[in-house]
Amino acid sequence: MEIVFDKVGDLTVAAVPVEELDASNAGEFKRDVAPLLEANTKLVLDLSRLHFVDSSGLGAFISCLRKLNASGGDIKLCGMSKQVRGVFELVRLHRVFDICATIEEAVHAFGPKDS
Amino acid sequence: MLDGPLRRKGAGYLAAVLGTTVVTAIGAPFRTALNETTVALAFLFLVLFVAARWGRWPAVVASLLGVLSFDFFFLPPLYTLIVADLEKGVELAAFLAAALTLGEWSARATRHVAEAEAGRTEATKAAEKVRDTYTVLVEGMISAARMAEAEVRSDEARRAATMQASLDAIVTLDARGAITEFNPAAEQMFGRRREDVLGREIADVIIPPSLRDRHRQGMARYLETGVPKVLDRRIELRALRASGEEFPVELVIARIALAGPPQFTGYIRDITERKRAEEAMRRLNVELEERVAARTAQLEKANRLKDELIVREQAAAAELASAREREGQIGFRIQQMLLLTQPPRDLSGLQVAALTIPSQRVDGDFYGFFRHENQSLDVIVADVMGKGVPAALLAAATKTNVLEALCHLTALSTSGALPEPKDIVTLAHADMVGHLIDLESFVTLAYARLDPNRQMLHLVDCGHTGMMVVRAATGRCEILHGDNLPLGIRGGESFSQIAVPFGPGDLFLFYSDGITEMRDGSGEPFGAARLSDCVRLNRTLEPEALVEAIRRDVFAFAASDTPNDDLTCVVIRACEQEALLARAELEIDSDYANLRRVREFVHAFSRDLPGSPVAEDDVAALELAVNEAVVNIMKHAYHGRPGQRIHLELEAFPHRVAVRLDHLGDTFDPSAVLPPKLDGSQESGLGMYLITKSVDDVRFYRDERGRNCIALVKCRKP
Repeated sequence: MEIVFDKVGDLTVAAVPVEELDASNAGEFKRDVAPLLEANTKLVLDLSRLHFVDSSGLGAFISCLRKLNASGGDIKLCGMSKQVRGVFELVRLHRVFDICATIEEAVHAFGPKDS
Repeated sequence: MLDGPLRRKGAGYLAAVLGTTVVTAIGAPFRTALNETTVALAFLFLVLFVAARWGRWPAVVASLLGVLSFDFFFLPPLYTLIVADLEKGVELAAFLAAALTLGEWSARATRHVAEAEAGRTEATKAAEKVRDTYTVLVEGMISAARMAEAEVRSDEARRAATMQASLDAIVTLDARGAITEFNPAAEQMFGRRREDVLGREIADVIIPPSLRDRHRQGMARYLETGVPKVLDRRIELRALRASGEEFPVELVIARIALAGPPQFTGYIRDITERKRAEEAMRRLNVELEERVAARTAQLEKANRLKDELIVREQAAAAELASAREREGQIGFRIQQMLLLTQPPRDLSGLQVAALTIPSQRVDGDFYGFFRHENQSLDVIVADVMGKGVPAALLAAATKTNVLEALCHLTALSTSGALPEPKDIVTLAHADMVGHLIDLESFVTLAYARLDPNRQMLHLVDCGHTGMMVVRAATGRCEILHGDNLPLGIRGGESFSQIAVPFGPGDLFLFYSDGITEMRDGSGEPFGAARLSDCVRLNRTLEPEALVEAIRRDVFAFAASDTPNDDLTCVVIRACEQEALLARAELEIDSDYANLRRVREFVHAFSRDLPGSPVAEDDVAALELAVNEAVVNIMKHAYHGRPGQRIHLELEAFPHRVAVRLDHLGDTFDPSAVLPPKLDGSQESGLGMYLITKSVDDVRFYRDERGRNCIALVKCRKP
């Protein structure tokens, strides 16, 4: 799947390009997002198109987080629907990920001097 | 009857009449020969006689009759009462006056005579009395004198006779102590002849040398002072026979009451035999006392021993009691841990509650529940003969055996069908009957399987109390029994089961005989009838409230809450049938691409349900759960192989939505899944966790056709 992204300073702002991230496409997402997860990358992931995520989708997000954490980067999620946030909360990932309401808020959360 | 004086007067009057008649009759023929004076004198004499004899009034009558008779028969004119001349009249009057006067005088004289006679008689009597008294006195005096004389004479004789005949020795002494008399009994007693001892001082004859001085002193003292010390009382001394033998005597010494110098008589009795008897008696008494003392000592020793034994026994009893207490506690724990597993609560189609009130002495009551994947519930209620730890252990063993039989037969089942209860019991029994017979024990047991889907109960009743059934439709209550023997009676037993169809709301009660055997103050048991009444009355209560009602009734009846036996019962109610609102099925291949179809299928089904709409969150949660379950099957049951069949079935009820997924892949063991780490370090393995968090019930099972199933239930919020 094609993942569209912008560079804002040293931040990368990308969007999940599907409405549903499940076992059928989570692997594909993981593969296609990987090029964005370079060293020191600060990634803002926009989930506003996403309506459904299952455990595989959650697993893909966790994979991103672990890769960035390992290389000194970081990730912030934004634009979550109520339903998607509900799934995150079920497994308490809302305490693991930084979750912001909007892209601007997420960019801002990385620090004003970088924007 | 006339009394005395009157009769006497009557006699006087009669005498007057008769006398007059007689004088007239005698005189009349001789009238001419007699002069008038003679006749008058005769009449006067008559009057005098009558007066003297009978007193005044008969004399008056005699006078009057004499005058009339004299005039009539003797004075001319004869045979008339006419008085011829004055001379004759005077004569008659004189006669009458003379007669009356004479009569009166005579009567008085007679009275005086009588009075004088009475006085004389009295005087005579007094004189006689004086004379008699005198005579008596004199005779008395004479007789007294004679008697005294005779007495003196007979006293002598009697004394001599007494002396001769007395069994006691009698010895008389004079003032000097010399023997003056010595009777035959004394001769025999002392072995001396009378002639030899007369005149000799008694001290030398019959008093032992050691006492002689005392005797002489006593004698001298008495003669000097006149104050007796040994007289007239019984004393015991020792005496001397001629042979020199000393022997005990009792004696009484009396002073002979005669003037002059004192003389004494001693009456002596040989008391050797008595003393010997007394001594023997005394020795016997001593021996007896010794024996009593010895026996008492023995008894005391025995008592001490007994007390010691009692103390020891009490200690042993206390130890035993505490051992029993410990045993009771162990039994109680065995019972709680192994025997009385809690009834399952989240069954679909059945509600179950159990009552457990253990007695102080644990007996072998137990019950157990086994739920099967097809929603059937197996209930085992049993009672092992006996009490305490052995019964509890045997109960645990029995339960294990039944469970083992169930597992064994389930594993052997090729068709995937559940083994029949009768086969389970038969196998369990075959495994344990030998042991039960060896232990001389047996078990009553009811094994029931309730299948809420087919609404059928199968019961294997092995001599248990029976199963009470209350029908919801009719409220009728019946107790069903099977006809099997208890377990452990004989080997090779094959057990049979009965099938009992049931409907929604029907109630089943299994109970131990501890409940029906609970007794009131008069010893009457609670009984199955009261239990059945209680159950029928409270049949609309929830099972938990119903067992509480049973408990309350039983305790109220027995007026006690400490039963002798365990009270156990199990209540099961078939739930009211839920109306199926909607049903849908979907079959997919094992392709992740189908996940969206699955979610849409669930979403569409939930959204279009009749009745209150399912909340959006609940639809999303159910979608997620079903999605994860399908992923689970694809990943773990089919290991990612495509083209495998997965079947979904959705059913909607007023209060829940049920999802059933079945497949032919590998069996999934949810217990092997580790709890996920929720710290972001774990990329996979969240699926199972998401499922359990998203729905109200998850069950993995194999159905009767051998398919692996996942059942999910999402409750609908009202």
